[in-house]
Amino acid sequence: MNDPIQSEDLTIFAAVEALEHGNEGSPRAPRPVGATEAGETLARLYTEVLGLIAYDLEPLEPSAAVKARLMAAVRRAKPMEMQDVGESGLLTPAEPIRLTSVPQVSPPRSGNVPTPAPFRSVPSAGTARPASSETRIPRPTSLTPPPRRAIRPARWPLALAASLAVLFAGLSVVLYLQLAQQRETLDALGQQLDLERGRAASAVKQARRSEADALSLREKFALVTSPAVEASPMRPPAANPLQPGARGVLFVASDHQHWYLCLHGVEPAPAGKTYKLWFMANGVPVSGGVFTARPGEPVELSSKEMPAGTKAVKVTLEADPQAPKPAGPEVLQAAGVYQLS
Amino acid sequence: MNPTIPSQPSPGSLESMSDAVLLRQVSERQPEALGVLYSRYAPTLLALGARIMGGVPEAEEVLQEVFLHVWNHAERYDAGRSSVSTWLILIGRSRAIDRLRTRKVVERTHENAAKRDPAVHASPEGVESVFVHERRERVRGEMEKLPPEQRLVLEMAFYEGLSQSEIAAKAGLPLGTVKTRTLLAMKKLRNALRDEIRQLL
Repeated sequence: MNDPIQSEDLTIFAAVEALEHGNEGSPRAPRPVGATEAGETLARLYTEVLGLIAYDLEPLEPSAAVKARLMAAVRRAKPMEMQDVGESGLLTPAEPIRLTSVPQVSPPRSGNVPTPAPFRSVPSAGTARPASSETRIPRPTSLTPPPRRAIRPARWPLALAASLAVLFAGLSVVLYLQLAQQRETLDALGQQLDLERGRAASAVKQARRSEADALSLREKFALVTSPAVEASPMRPPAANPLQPGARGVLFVASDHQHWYLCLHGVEPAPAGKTYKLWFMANGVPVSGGVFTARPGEPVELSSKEMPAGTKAVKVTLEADPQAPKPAGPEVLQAAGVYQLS
Repeated sequence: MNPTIPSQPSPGSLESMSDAVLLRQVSERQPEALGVLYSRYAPTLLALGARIMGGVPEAEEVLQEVFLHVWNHAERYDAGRSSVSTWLILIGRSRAIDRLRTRKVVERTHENAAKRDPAVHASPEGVESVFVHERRERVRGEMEKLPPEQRLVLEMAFYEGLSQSEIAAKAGLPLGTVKTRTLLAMKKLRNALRDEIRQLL
């Protein structure tokens, strides 16, 4: 008998592990060893817990074009499905069966069609003939041809018509299946086209973003190369530096509003902590926002506004991102101002 | 006289139908049912995709893929394994993480600020059903109650698709600590969200 607590833990790990494997929406029920129905219920409970995590996020409203593309794609698929139903009365295999049933109306006679006894020469005494034929068809009483022409045309055209009907029906089925297959292909291509259009649209957006980034870079370049720009190196505090390898430069435009900060060597913040930029305006700390750092990547921040009276800038490591004033250790601080000219 | 709420969907309308009923209609090729499911869950799935991939345009592509998948494979849903909501979310999460791994899109600076900026990203009122809205409020409240270190490991597993070992390496924590935090977070959420889960089941 499994310890229920340990069993629950195993269930949780199985659910999380299923997540790691990119389990797509039909979670394989994580089933601990010896699990019962109750164990499976527990597994499902934890699967639902995982599914609920996404509700923590602020919802984003997709653009109307996404839904329009989606609905256009599914509605294009839908007529085909309706056609499957609508045309079934015309082209499905049910029809050929109905057509071929025509000759089945007279099955007893069909056996006699190739060699209708009454129209052959008078059989010899030794010729074996079906008794039923003899009973059903009167023996001719003279050599004058009986109403041969009246009967024969009524049979072979019927057989021919039935054969043609079967042929055409079969052909129709084949053509219908080919048509359906082509429609499926077209629908799949349509869906693919919609996806590609979506990707093209996002590529355009990406290009626009890149353009905006380039513009931003040009502005930054103009800022840092401006003759009147002030550059303020940022270094770790001399005493007990938290990150000795961190460094940066703050560029401030001549209007003392537009600034650009570039930091290097800042390590990722420990779990539960975040970096925060502070402007010391007339001795009062004003938050410049929080930011994250990635290993080996520079941190770039900029804005067109700087608090009036800013005399110093520093970066701290804070446990509370909403802290109104620096409470954590200083990581970097401005170490002077240089005029670039 | 019974009071009436004009914005409330009338009984029997698609909007008032349960997720499972809607999904069954989707499997019967009813586009309107898919449209209702989309309206109900697209904002959550888009937020999830954007959180994982760090960009809305790509998340919109994944969103469309997810609902096309639902349209083409609605019959694969197994009510015995998860709710429709969880099914959709796990499909969306899986697709987003797959794409993230494939394209190596890792660009999420200021993600927390963007995530918590309702002025920019808030969903218009009335787009989602009341139930989903309530669920969101409840889940958000309970997630915020989690200790940051427990919440962190859970988010790394869910949004980044990291294994427990990878989380331990990335966060610089012993593997045992990561596992303990995961267990504690999951159990707390399960107990706190008992009513929500009951509704889903």
